[in-house]
This record gives sequence, C-alpha cells and structure tokens, in this order.
Amino acid sequence: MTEHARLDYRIPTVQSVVQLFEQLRHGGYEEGDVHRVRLAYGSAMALFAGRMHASGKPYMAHCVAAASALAGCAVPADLVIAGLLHGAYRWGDFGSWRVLPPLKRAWVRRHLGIRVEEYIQGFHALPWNSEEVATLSERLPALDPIERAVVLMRLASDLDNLRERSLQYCIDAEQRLATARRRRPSLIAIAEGLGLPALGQALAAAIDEQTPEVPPELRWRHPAGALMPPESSRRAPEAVVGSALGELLRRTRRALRR
Amino acid sequence: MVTYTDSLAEGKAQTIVQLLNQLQRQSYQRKDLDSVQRAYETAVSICSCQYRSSGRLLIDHSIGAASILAGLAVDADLVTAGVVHAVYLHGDFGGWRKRLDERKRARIRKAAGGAAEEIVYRYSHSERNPLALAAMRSRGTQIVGMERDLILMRLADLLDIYGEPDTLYCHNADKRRAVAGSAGPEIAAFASELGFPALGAALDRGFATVRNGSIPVALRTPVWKDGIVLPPSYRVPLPIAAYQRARSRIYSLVGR
Repeated sequence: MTEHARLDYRIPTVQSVVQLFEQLRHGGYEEGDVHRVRLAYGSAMALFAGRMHASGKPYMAHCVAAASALAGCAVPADLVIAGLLHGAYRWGDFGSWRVLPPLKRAWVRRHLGIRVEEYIQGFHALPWNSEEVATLSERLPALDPIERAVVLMRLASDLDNLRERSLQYCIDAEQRLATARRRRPSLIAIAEGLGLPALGQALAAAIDEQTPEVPPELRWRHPAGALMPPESSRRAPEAVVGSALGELLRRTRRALRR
Repeated sequence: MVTYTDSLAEGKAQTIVQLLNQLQRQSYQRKDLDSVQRAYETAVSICSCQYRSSGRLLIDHSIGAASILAGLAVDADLVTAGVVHAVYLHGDFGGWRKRLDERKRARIRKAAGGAAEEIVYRYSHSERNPLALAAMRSRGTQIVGMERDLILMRLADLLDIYGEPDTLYCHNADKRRAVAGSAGPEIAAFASELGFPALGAALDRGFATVRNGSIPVALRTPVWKDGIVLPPSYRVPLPIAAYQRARSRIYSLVGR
C-alpha cells in the first residue's frame, strides 16, 4: 500500500525558489513580473545568506514560502516581492556600513522600488503581539490598502511558520504553540476581514494539525535568525566598527528622545 | 518497520522539517531521525551560503536527495548519507585546505555515523557523470552492496535536480537538456532494473520534462553560478581567498 505524500494546499507555501518560479509562471503572472521576482530573489540571497529560521530550515525557504502564499492569494507582483523580503529590516545583512534604517530603506527603494519598500517597512513596523492581533479584525475597515496588504503579508508569514508542525521544531516550541492556539480565532477573523476565508481555513488547519508530536530531541537547537556563515569566513573588521557605531547612534537617539 | 511512501520528485521534502515529518510518517526509528537531524546541523554549517545556479540552496538539494532515498524505503544510514552527500565535494570546513583529510572525516563520522560517512566518502570518489552512469546499465544484476548504494544515491541526486525541474533554471540548462536526451532513458531504465521501478518512472518523467521544456531567457537572467554568496558583512580572510583563487585558476588551466 502506498500513500501519496504530496501535500496539496489551496494556499501553497512552496519552499524552493524553483517551485516559486513555476507557481508564478503557471499562476497567471506575467513574464516581466516573474523576472522582477527573480531579481528580488537575487537580492535576498545576499541579504539572508546564512540566516536560519527558528525551525532549522534556511530563512530563505521561509521567505519563498511567504511569497508563495501571497501569490496563492493572487496579489500583485510588488506584494509577492515584498513577501520574499519581508524580514529584510530584521534579519537582512546590508553590509558593514549600512547599519542605520534610513540607509537600509534607501537601498531597498533603489533595488526593489518604492511600493515594495513601503510594504516591507510596514511589515517591520506593524505590532504583532497577542493584544494587537486580538483587535485587528475590528480595525481592518479603517486601514488603507497598503496597511491591509501588510496585514496580509503577516498572515502569509504566519502560515508558513505554522504549517507542517514547524512550530514543534523550534527551541521554544511550547510557547509558540500556546501563542498560536490563543490567536487562532483572531487570525481566522482577520483573514475573513481581508476577504480571504481560504487563508483563514489554512491558518486554522495549520494550527490544528499538531500530531504526531515532535520529540523535543528533534528540535533545532538555535534561536530564530541564527546566522551560520561559511566556516572559512569572518565578520569584516569594518562591520564590527559599523555595528558598534550604529548601536551608539541608536542609543544616543533614544536618550535624546527621553 | 519502514513503510513505503510515494514521495519521489513532486512530493519530496525540501526542508529538514519536511524530511523529518516524512521519516516519521514512514515509521523510521527515533534514533534514525536523531541521526538525520544531527547530520543536517553539520551539513548546514559546512555547506552554508552555497547556492546552485538555479537559485536553490545546496542544502535544499541534499534534503531533496535524502527525501527521495527515504521514499525508496532504504536503510536509515543511506538516508543520512543523502543529507551530507555534498559535504566532501562542495563543503567549506574552514581553513584553506580543500583536500579531504582524516580530521574532516572524523567530524562527519561524529555527526552522521560511521556507516553514513563511509558511503559519502566513497560517493565523493565515485563516478558521477550521467553518461558513465548510463553505461553501467549493462552490469545491472552484478551491482550489489555498497556499489548499489552509491548508484542509488547518484540516481536520487539526479532525480532531485531533473525532477524539480531545477535544471531548466540552471546556467547550463542546454547542457543538462542534452544529457537528459542522450543518457536519460538509459538511466531511468537502469533504476528500474536495479529494483526501483517508481524511481525509474520518476526519472523518466523528469528527463522528459527537461528534454521538452524550456524557460524564457528572462527567467535565467541574470545568470547565477553554483557557489557561495557571502553575507555582505563577512569576508574570507585574504590568505584563504588568495589560495582558493590561485587553486581555481590552476585547475581551470589544467582542465580539472
């Protein structure tokens, strides 16, 4: 007896860029848009080089999956690209000296476009704690199109974080699972408020499908965003200096604001 | 007991999460899953930041090959070997020497187990050219034991890249298409004759897709090459970088 192991989802979360390109090509996206996604992926390759997801897969796989989920909701290419780079400001390595947010934002605008940068910045700035998530569906009607798109990006990212018991492979699995179960009704309501009930169902299914349990010994032993650069490489000396300067400037600004 | 699951090509795992889920579904033992996870952790470190010219991460390819092997219900050691099969060929163990030495082998033995490491060591020294693989078909029934395992690993490796269709997005897609045309049917038949008809059928489909398929040029530009993409704030120390450049130059001059 054989059982087909392929998992067919209405809202896909493919994990490889080749699958993403195939999904876009056969999903009605124009060649020009798929080319733009390819260019954006090239930027992501450097930004997220060596970065790991909390579940142990490369962070790039999560980026591709978020883009795939958005494409599955038939969004414009700009939003697919933003999904591909949604973690840029949190996890991206912009080089030794580009450590301050205005410099990073300028880089993203130049390479990916103004609209894409707006989405990524919106994602970075959107509070996503349990209190905010619980009330977001009520505030949806008052949000402008960009803010609604940013919320959709969050749901797409969450879908990949939740699917295939990924939570259980994280070092803090219990906490993540408890949070997910607490947010379940809110996430469904938000998806329905965005006019995407299928996404809500996918999120619910992902949270509910947690058996068989994953033994704790199989968990990825590193925190979210751990960096694993090539073993023969070292952090550039100027990066250490740049990082220290950036931190000093950030603390100074915070102190002046007080 | 290991149960058979059809996960070849289209349904294969792409990430460690998917692979571990697959192994659990297929009733591989707990110690086997532990071994795969530990081997993966080492492989990720050694093959970090390495991309195929299609844009896929090298570690994703390793997971794909391991998943295909698991889908054939092979021994756990062979699955684990699949996870680390690229480390000796493409891995960065730190330092400037590319030569495989006992220190590197000891590290892989510790991570993946002695049996898996032996498979990977022999794989890295085995014939991997698809045309040569096709020519081995005539020896079909004489191929047993370790040699059979090595060929299986190579077939899984090929299915991962031809069944994706990863190769159509590679910088040398035309060359890959030629291989699919000239050696594909022989390789697929070889897999069936080795006792894996599902693998043969999947290879056949994959090679046919590559033979008959094409990707718009815009989706293969800019051209990517196999290799490392460093985090922008990281550098390879100058002596190592200089040695690697010189070595690469010398090898290309002598045609290696």
